[in-house]
Amino acid sequence: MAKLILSVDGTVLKEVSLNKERTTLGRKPHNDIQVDNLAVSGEHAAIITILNDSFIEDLNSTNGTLVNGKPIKKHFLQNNDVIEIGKHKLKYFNDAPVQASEQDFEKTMIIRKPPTLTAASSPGLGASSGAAASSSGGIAANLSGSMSDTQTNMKPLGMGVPAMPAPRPTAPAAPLAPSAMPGPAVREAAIQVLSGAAAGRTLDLTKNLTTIGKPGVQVAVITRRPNGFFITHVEGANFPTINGSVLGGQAQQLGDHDLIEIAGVKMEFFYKP
Amino acid sequence: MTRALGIDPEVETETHSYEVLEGDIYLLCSDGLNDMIEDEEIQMTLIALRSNLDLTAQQLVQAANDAGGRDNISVMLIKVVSGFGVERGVWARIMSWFK
Repeated sequence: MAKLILSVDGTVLKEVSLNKERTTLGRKPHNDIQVDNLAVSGEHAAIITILNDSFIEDLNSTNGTLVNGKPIKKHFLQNNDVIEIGKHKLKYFNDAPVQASEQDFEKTMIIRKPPTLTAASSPGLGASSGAAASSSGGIAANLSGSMSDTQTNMKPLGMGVPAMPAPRPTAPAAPLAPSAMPGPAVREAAIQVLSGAAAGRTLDLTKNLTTIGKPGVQVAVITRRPNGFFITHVEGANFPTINGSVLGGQAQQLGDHDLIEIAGVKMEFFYKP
Repeated sequence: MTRALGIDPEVETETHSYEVLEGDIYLLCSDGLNDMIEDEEIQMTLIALRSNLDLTAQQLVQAANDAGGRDNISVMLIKVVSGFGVERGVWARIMSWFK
């Protein structure tokens, strides 16, 4: 149970338990905590207690209410907070084990998209391997610079964001689609089937999810995301291989001309020119 | 949360009944999901990845984040694996009065 210790000029006057939903403070006698002082308004403040949490609210008092020296309108009380009303102090005690910090309640966490670099129209963190670069040496320098800058405030994009792939030189040195932005601004890609009955067929990867393989035997999904295309195993005792290596449990980003083998069929992933 | 649930010790739950068929997948989610991605995409994801519910949930959350992720996202998926009969005999109905 939370409580308040009321004191003035260093002298403790009384202890009050916060066992009601609404505990009022003020000069008038009807208040739960009556503070008899000219600097205190008739109805000065109220403390709302819900389960184990207490909030103090100033009731438009003349001189205001301070908590830890700062004037407040509403404040979520933390253990050892000191409320000041007029010349009186009330220290708040709440020995509940879990104490959230006020910062947790003030800010909604924002997932930041990685900033685009200004220098060489290169993407920020999470560069897709389709990043066309005029000089791969230049891109490596820019990207490693951005990594250290954005690493600290970058929120993870969810599962499957791979470690930074080595920049791959691709044929056209065209300006990039801004891969750092959400939305369908992605380089187009497709799968070409190389073996089996459907050999020669091309499947455009226009949808956000394209499943490949044989349902009930081996299925993988290619997801289309702002920063590229990723392949993830969906079902089947065996996992598909990418360029000969067995796909792990997590999503893997697909690079231009990667060779996928699934359910006995070979196919190639490629970015469209 | 105190604003949505209120401060009474008990809450009234809202219940709905649906006829359940084998293979059905139920999705319970916060509006952090369906405010960010279209219903068609949710449907496509459920169908494409229905053999792997963990992956389906991860994919839904990731898609909502990729689309901006402006709110917290909660996703719960329930798949009906096989039928379950409801006792309909006279005896079963009498017994159910005592439950």
